[in-house]
Amino acid sequence: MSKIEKNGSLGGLLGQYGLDAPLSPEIRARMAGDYDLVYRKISEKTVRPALIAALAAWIFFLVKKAGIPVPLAKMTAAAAVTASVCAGAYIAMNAPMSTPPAQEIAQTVTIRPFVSRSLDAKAGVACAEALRQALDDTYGRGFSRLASGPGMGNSRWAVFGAVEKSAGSVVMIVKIVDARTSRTVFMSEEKCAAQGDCDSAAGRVVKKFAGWKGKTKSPR
Amino acid sequence: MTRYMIRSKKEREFRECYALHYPAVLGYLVSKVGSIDDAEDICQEVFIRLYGNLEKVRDRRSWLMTAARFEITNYFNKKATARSDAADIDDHQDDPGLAAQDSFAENRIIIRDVIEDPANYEDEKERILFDLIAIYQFSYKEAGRYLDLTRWQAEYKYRRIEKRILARLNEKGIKELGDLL
Repeated sequence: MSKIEKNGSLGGLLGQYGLDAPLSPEIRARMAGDYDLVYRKISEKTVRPALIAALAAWIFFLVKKAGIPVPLAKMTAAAAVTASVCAGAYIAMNAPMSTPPAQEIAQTVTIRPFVSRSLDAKAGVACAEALRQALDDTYGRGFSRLASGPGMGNSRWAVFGAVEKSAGSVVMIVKIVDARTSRTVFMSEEKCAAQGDCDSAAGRVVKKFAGWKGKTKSPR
Repeated sequence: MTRYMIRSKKEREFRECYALHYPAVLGYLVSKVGSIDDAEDICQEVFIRLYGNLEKVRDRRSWLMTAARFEITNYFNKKATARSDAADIDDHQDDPGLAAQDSFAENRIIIRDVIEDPANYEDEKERILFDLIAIYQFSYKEAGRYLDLTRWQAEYKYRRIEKRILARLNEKGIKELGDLL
């Protein structure tokens, strides 16, 4: 833990607002250890073409200097053949043995438990579950899933939402994000009379979603 | 001979640029990708791209961060996986739920604007120092090592940046940090 975090001022503020990205001491140690290695790899990749060209030129002039009667045309042809063979060998050596097949999309939508400040965590999970049920009822079983961990599986869309108590009713806010581009593609807000009535609100959200989905290209 | 001199000048410039930006770029990549091995591979690609464009690039920090974001998108496209862990935290934090709850999103935007304001930093080195300490939570000693500063110089510089940022927040109407925490 760094000193600033202990002091809690600006570092704490950034942490509070999700503007920091703390790296563990192990990662930081590895970064420091690999500093030279990464630079060496970059140098190898950037310098290689120039090095090959310089070597070729050096060999050409060496042959010329030695007085070997090789005409420029023959030399160029030989260089071209050698380059093709080397390039072929290089590609063959670097090509993967087998390309892993693209992973199939298991569920199209992953729903995160809804957040809530005015209601308990169970209400958030219940709303997410209601939305999952409504989506599966409309698009078939397996269309959506509830997120069980930090990942999104291979889902096309991620659903974030909130449920809050507001003047005698409950408001459900849903945002759908394209998981590959992080762009918000759909947003909706629905009111329901009581906490237990979130099924109908979820149904209305899915209806709106269906309207949006009908207008767009979708994987399913 | 001239070409050799130009080339060696370019390499020197590139080396300096790498030394200055490596920790922040790699830190950003690790925080988005999650794997240090993959982040290092992407980091190489980013710096190789920079090498090819070194003469054209003016604001190297911005350029590197944009290139890093582009490479991250490529990485996830290649992997054909969702960007759950690496998705921009902004999207998660600017969640409609959070925005609806209170002034959280508004405050966050103010803080981000203030932090991004170049007026807070005397030079590129200060900006990187701030990123390393405040965002990636390097110690003063670790950050100083990358930037050729002693532990004390790093702390002194960081405190100055912090003061400037707090003054800017003050100008924006945030008198006490406690109001935001």
